[in-house]
Amino acid sequence: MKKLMAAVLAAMMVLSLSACSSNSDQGESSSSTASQNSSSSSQASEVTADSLAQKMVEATTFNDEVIAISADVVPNYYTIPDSVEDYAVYMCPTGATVEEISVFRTSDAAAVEEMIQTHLDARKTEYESYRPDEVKKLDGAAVVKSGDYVAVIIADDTAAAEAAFEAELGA
Amino acid sequence: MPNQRRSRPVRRSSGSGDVFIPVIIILLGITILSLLIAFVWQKWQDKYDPDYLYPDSRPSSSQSESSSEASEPSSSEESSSEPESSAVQFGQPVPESERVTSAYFNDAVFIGDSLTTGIQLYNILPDTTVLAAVGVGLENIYTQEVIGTEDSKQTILEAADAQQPAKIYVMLGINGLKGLGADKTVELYRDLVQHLKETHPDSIIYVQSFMPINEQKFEANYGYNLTNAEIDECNEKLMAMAGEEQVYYVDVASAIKDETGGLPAEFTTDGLHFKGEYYNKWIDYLKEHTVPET
Repeated sequence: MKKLMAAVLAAMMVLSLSACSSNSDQGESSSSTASQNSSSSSQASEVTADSLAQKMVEATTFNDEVIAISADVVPNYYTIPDSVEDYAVYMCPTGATVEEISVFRTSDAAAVEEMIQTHLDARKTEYESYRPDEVKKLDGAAVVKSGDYVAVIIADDTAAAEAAFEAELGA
Repeated sequence: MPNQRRSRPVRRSSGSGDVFIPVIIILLGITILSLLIAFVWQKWQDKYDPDYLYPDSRPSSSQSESSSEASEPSSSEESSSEPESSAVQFGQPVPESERVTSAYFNDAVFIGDSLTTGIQLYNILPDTTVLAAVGVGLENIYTQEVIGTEDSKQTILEAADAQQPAKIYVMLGINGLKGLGADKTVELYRDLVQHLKETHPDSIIYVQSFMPINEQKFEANYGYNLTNAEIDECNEKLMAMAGEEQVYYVDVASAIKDETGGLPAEFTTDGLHFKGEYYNKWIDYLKEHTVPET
């Protein structure tokens, strides 16, 4: 009798453990980052491309919103060279504006700057006949670098993001 | 007659027995509670894919036209049974159907302009194919090379030709609507639909209605006046054209419209584009308005 009870108890415990196991990862969260650096879990002291981008986004006032763009989607906008070790792309997802903050960690800043320029030109071609006001933001885009990091800021006012970039990297 | 049989020892360990049973009941209760919590948690996580809430059998036709053959027998069949032709009609909006999951769109292609790029940028259907770009319209879709990486760009239709999707969703032309007018817009749309029917004869083609706008913000941002009434009128013509071309028309606008028939100001920056929550409404509507796959 007692053995039976013990077995029943054990079975119930196992059942409740399996019931609590997490569901398959839906991953439909739109804030999935493009960061390839899986070792960091946003430790306060460690800077990653994504943590840096987030600080810059938080500092900036946008007309619309920007969100982290999935790594699967980024190739439609940037052809990332192999020299880039880590990156985060935050863009306006609605299509209403060209607002963006993207951060790249790279050993070849020149290649990244060229990639950014290609991207800015492509966005200009898209928007000049569609929403010409947005071209002003592209013309006024800020490209900043410090150490291994290169970032592009596309917004009405880029100063706050530039300041956040420098503050984070102690430049 | 006293019958003391040693072969039947009756153990009456009363002390531990009395304690045992309440313990079992408590533990049983905890297990049931944790199973319930797990169930509710999974249900909450599956908010957009509650397919388990619906029975496997198809519901009887939502346009119940008292045709008894449509009810009992078909509800016991698998969902891949013959389509109920009385429910889905060309020239009418696709009626509400059993909700599908995101996986339904794994073999779908979305063709469109900047509004459709949001499906990709919001990553709302990570496994679908989005062939869309800012500034594409019913005239330049044949020539604008907008799909692909920097080194190899193709037009949307070239990219679509490279695959055989089971379903094609189209939403295009709002940018040129005012300039071209509804009739010309619908004629150009017809050309596109005919092209898609030729290149993808086996695909289910869904023409999506134009989405509503916020009239004040639209005029402030785009410098001209376009009204929801004009959009609605164009949608009526679009639906009629879809009927003539024997493709399906989905009234996605009805999922977005507020009580004034427009797009609420707080969810749009420029009166035309809308934020993530409205993409959820759009895709939810598509999940609940599909036609049977043959």
